[in-house]
Amino acid sequence: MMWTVRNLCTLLVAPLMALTAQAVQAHPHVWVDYSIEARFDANGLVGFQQRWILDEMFSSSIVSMFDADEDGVFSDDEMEEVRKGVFDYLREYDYFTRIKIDGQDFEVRQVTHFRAYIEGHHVVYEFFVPCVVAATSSPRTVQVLVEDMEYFVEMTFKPNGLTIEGKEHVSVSSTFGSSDAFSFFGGAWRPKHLTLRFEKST
Amino acid sequence: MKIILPLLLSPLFCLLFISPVPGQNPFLTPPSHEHKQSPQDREKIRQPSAPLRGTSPFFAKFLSLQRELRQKMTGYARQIQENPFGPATWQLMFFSLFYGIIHAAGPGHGKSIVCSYFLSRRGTVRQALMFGNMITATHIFSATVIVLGLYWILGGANIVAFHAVEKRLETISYLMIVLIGVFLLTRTFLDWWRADQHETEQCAPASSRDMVSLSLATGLMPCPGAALILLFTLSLDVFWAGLVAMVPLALGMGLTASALGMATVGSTRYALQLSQRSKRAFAVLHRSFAFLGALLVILLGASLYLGARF
Repeated sequence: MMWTVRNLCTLLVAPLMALTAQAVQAHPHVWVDYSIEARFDANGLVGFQQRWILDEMFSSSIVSMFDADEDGVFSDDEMEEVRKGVFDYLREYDYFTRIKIDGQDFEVRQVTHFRAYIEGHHVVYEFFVPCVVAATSSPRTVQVLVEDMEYFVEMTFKPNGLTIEGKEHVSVSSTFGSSDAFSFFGGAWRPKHLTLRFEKST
Repeated sequence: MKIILPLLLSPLFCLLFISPVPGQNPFLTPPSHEHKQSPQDREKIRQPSAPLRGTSPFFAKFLSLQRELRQKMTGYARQIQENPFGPATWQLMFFSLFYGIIHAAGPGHGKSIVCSYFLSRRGTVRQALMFGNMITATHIFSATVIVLGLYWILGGANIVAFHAVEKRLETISYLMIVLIGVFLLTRTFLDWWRADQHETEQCAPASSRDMVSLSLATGLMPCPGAALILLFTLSLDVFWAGLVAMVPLALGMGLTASALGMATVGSTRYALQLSQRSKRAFAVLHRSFAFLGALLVILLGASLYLGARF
């Protein structure tokens, strides 16, 4: 009996290996380079300005559809069409942005100040994610993950992609790396994310 | 025990495949339901529904390679615009092949169908090669026909129009997969019944009819990656180069899908050979494979359908 059980296990694992081989790779179709500007004022964190540079192929599709006068610039009307046509639906995907404030989930319900423009062969999106966190005398931690959970889009953090505005108001430090804050599939996927620690400036 | 074990392992198999990822472009996909547009009613925080992802250096290398290949293809397409018959034409073709191989290594329901089918039916290496190439060729061909159709019949092709057609085809494709899965499962039960009647245990062989049906049903969903290449070359007025590049792209993707098919054919064959020491173990194992493979096709089609609809 033991022989049979052990061998059945082995036998079932063999095809299982062949099947899993295709489930551990990636399948993105659109690539986006992003950078983040964390904005602070006298009260603390105000939110995050994001800048996304879309890959050339997808950019070309957007330009051919929305740059109606083909002048290489999105007018205000064209930008509005871009927003409605190829940006607003991302609300369903939380704009690929997940935030944790002191370990608690913060829902990204809206973004503001959307802009789209053409830079070289790329379309660039800029928008602001409001996230108000008061600075206190004890440190606050805000973590920001920018990823497409469906993985149609590969989001890549640009080198030196973080800038901090309003540094004079707070003592702030930042890191970009993996942590337990965002850990999926039992720890198999620990995406890199931004971590900000700040407190009232002394 | 022999029966319980495969039953316990079957959900594990299913978990590998069942992921409601219709592979739709999120920039272009409206919410499935109007109520989802209201933030209050929406799912609180979106969890990853994509297949397993890793953070290993190999995985990162693999990703950057895909990205690099796409960038190179973009550059060559631009060079073709300036010099249509220069070396860039051949370079685009070569990189399309390479991109196809790497791109297809990602999770996709086409490959899951190939592996599930060869789990359910005993195939040969030649059949795996044929099925892998057929399923990806149909996938690319579907994208090509849609872009060409939009371009010539409607007078313009763009990613939004492509996406609209894709959305219409997905329901048909996923339901066809479910139907073929039901057909396979029914035949599996019939085979069991016949085997019990004649007291002979034989593995059902893979058939060309099944593979063609599954290729057509699965490949009906067009490849968004191929569409982006076609639309890009169209925007540069070198559409012919995009069309020609579809051949090496399909071959590259077919190579990966076939390799996975062959791995499944080889490993299941090996597993069954080992089990032949015991007649009972062989019967249990080949029946489990036949049942699981067909069930996976149904579950895969159903989960894709439900994922796309709800």
